Amino acid sequence: MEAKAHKHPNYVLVGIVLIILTILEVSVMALPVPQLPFLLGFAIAKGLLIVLYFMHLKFDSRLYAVLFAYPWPLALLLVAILIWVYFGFRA
Amino acid sequence: MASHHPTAGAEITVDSRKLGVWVFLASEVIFFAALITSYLVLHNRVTSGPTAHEALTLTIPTINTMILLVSSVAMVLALAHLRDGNRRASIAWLLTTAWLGICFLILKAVEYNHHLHEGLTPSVNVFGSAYYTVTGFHAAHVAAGVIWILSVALGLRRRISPQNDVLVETVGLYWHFVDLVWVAIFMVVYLMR
Repeated sequence: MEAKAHKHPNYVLVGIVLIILTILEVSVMALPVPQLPFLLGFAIAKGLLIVLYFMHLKFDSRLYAVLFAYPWPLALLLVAILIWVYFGFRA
Repeated sequence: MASHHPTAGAEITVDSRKLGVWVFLASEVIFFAALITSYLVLHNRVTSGPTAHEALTLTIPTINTMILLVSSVAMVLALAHLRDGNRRASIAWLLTTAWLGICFLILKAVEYNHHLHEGLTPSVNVFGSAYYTVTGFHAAHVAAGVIWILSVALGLRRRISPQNDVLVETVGLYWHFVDLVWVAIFMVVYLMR
């Protein structure tokens, strides 16, 4: 079995931070500021907290992190190409 | 079931079931990236019928976000209690997670019902198709997760085994991933509408 030596992180605290980030995310919609950078920032922060603490990538074998990380550049490339093709055709 | 792969001067120990779930989740990243990107490029091409801005509200999706986040805490507490040797508490947290998943699905059904009454059907326009495809596939993943969690909780009641924590950990990985996907959907579909 894999490493069990680490003490449990404060999962409830991580959950509270995630809920606060969600409240901030929704609140930003009412502010007269450019929303996209804030929304992206909050979503990335929430995603990292989930992956690192709830999915234990911070504590688990690096192999899992590498496995999970490799499709993300492909996914971002897919997003970029689709958006470029769509707006390219519209232009 | 652990497989050992000695490398030069080091040994990486992984569980084959966990490895399988991580590979599956990696493929799901591409699947949902394609779905969400399709939504991004299609949802503004509405020539008739309701648009995203007109049809979508934030109340139910925000409550659903909270529900999924709390369910992720419940799931990770189920694993923590099992590792601490407290099987009863682990089962209770697993059932809490499943119940929260069911609440998510009920609210999703209420939201869909509201949309259908407002005229937003999957065939009304390209936004409707893209919206129901993205959120529908996510809801199907939640439903599959609830069934998986209930089967693990049931199995946990029947037997005591040192391999139990891998069973809970793998279903937990899947559940947290479903939560992760919802974080992206909530931002792209509801907040950026």
